[in-house]
Amino acid sequence: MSPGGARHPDVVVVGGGIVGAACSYFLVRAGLSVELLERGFPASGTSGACEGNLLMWDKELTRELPFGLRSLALWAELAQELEIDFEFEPKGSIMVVEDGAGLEPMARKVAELARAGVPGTILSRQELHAEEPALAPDIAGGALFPEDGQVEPRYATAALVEGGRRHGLRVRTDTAVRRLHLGPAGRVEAVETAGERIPAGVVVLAAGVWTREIAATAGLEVPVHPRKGHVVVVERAPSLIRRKLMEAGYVATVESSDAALQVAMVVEATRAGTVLLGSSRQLVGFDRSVSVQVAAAIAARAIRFFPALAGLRCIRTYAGLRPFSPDHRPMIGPVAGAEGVYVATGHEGAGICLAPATGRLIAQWVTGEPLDFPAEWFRPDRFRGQG
Amino acid sequence: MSVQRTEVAVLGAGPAGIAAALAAARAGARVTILDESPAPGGQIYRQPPDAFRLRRPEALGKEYARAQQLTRELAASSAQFLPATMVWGVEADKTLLLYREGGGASALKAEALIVATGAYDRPIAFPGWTLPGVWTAGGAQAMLKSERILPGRRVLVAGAGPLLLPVAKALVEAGATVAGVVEATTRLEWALHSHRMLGHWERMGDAVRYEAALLRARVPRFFGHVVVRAEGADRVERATIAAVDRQWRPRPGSERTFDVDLLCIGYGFLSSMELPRLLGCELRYHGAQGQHLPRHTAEMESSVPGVFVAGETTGIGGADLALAEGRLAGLAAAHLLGHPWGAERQQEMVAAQARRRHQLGFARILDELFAMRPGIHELAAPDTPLCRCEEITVAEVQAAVRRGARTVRAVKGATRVGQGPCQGRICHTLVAHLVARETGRPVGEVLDITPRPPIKPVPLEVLAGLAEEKAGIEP
Amino acid sequence: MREEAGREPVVERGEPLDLLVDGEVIRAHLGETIAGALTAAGRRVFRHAPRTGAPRGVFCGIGVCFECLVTVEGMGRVRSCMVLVRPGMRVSLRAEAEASGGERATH
Repeated sequence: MSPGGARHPDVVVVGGGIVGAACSYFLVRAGLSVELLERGFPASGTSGACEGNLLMWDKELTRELPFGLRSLALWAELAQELEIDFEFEPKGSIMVVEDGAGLEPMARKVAELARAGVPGTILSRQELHAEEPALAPDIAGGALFPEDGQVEPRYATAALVEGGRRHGLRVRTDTAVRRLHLGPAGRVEAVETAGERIPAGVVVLAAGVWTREIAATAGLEVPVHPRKGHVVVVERAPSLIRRKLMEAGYVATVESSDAALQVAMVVEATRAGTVLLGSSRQLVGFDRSVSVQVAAAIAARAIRFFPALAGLRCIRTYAGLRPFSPDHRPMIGPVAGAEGVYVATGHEGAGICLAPATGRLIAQWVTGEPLDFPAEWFRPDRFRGQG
Repeated sequence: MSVQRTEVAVLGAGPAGIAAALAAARAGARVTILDESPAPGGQIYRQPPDAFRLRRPEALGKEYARAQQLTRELAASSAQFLPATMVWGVEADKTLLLYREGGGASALKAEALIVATGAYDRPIAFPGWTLPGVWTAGGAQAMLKSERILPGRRVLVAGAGPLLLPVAKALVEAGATVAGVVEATTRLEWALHSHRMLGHWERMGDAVRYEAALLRARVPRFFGHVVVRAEGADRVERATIAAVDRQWRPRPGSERTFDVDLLCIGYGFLSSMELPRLLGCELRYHGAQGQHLPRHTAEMESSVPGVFVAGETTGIGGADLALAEGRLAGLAAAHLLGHPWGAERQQEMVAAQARRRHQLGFARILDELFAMRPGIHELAAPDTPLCRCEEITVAEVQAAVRRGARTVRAVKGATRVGQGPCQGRICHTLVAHLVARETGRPVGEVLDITPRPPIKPVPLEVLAGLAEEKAGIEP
Repeated sequence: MREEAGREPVVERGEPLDLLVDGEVIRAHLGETIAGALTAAGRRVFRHAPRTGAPRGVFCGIGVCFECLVTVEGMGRVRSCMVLVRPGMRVSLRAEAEASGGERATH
């Protein structure tokens, strides 16, 4: 093991968003010397443009959910361990069912999730309104998942980065990686930035939607694509919204591969007292500019559920690019045919939630420790041969 | 939501906007002009509201007479004025999204835009600057000019630049005791620039009149001094000034404290850049004014075809410059849209350009004389808020920089700076100066701002209203 | 204070009207802004900042800084320096204080 900060780090992590930060953190905690390269500043990409959901009920049951439960437990530990306060709130979430037709599928889902280890309570119309008095009176019902939570995603990224620094992590911001270099036998040799060539025995690509481009410089295929999302921020209205709320239809938008705009209500209050509104999904390439039309659709959907929001002011909007993979599941693990290259991306809207488990899994891969989860679950090259 | 069509949309009804609207209308264009305030005039041409009756208009001076003349001309012209209306966003096809305070949402589709949204007092942070009773000089002047309401009885007026004198005079005339006019520059510096002011007789005449009025009222003058602190329990009760060196850094042992109930701070102005940014206009950093300004042609067209800029939007320069630029922009917009362009119009354009050059000359003198110096950005203490909305202190910004933040955006990524309702208008430059100092980088490089709608807070239902079926477009 | 108190008036104000500010009647005139009327009535503290509860009032006076926010019945939270008074207007400075509640002293 080379001393922290030495010329040749054991591992180079590319990407200083939540996933790259988590990978870096767990790698240095495992005793490796790690250099994190970030082309902007920590969370300047997608991690700085999202809501910070720690949600279990929207996870695919067989693989994502166990992974998510592990990650949620790790977040609770990190909230104690890391010095920077990232507003970890185990406030619980509510799945909101707009009309009666959705109540039965919701009840089935609650039962399914309970069997899988996610406790939830079905809420009648009255119980739902007792939980969240600001909801429109005609909303049919919902389910409360008390163990879900929320973090401030930028502070969480910073917390992991700072935590990593305390254990020797070297962080270089304003440092974009242009090329990945593989040797003749397919073994990773170095990464190249604008100014230099950094030799590395292990490279973890955690650059979100930009991972594909970087991998392609070495002839590697990582099918991650941008799925744009908007967030609308409403002025302070403390105690209007108590928990994180999402409409039941949210899951369908995640699962869909439709390129056209899809909007599903997501509403939550932050510790500062502002209210964040989401969600939208579109495939429009790498454009991060805010569309007033999309913001309008989010606002309209939120007002349908919370009429009291109508008279409050929107003070900000922003947009980010979720990294999504062809089957909407993350890609975490080694890249076949490129020894020493790992990928950690494709979390599509669950990046914040799944980051710690991802970081731990990558650290296990790199150090050769036993894996928490079966290798093939999140294999990055599971899409080979699918065209 | 109704969508209105017009040929030339003039955004802002201060001197530049009014001049632009008049010029474009006279040249034959259909003009719609709007302003966030209920009446035209902007800041410098603020007038008492229509609901007031003027007993002694002559007491309001020649500025009022000019303001009256301009607003009367506007009312008599074919231009349509939309009061109390803000632009909060722009659609992909450049349709302007409007909101009328307390009223409704609408949209405006124009073939040419003239951005004349003016400026606001440059924020300068020092301990106690957030206390009630600490106002900007412009804010005090606005309340005196429009509503004839005096915000305090014992006042200190402090800062750098020409606005201090008319504000102090207005306060005196309204019955306040002005404990002092505190100017950061020195008499010697004024004297050294005075030869350049030859040819700007009207300005020099104004200055002499203000000085005379203050002399008569025995208002103490302090040159080479700045306010270093405001103190009080719930509101300002004391203001402390100190002598400064030529970099405006306080000299130890030179402090003087005044009992006040109003402290007016005036360190020049910052141009409102939200709309040019959102429209995609190319900006360039101007060191002397300490801000980004839009590039534009001699005909006031920005880098975006069909978008013109005029008045303080192109740089701080005062009413006369604004009038000239507004006229140029109005003429150019009408010309662009194919309205008849004869020798007469051409001559008007040439004359306006000559006036513009003349006024720019004076503006440059003021830029140099009253440019901010390093010491003014170092007055804040570690616990002084830089972001007023979210109460983010100097110390917190410094912590973010220590953790690697090298730009304003990076500081925003690590704190809540700029995330309140003022959307960074007050704090962006303050944070930029601190980051620049801490990192050794130029201010223009660290001040990176991403434009996003809404550019002013807008009721959520107005935003949501776009998602519904748009009403038919009105001709 | 309205500037003509004790001096020969330059203007004759608009029709007098009453504002109800947290239950208290405050005199105003048509044409004035809410901020103007409050200022003339001697009010300086309009609200309290969200983190520390520090007192805040008018700062820029022209609608840029959002310090002068008050809550007006039927209009929500508005910049008092930009909104003209109307007869029977009900204004709350207290509601603004509550609305800004958020995270008092947790940082």
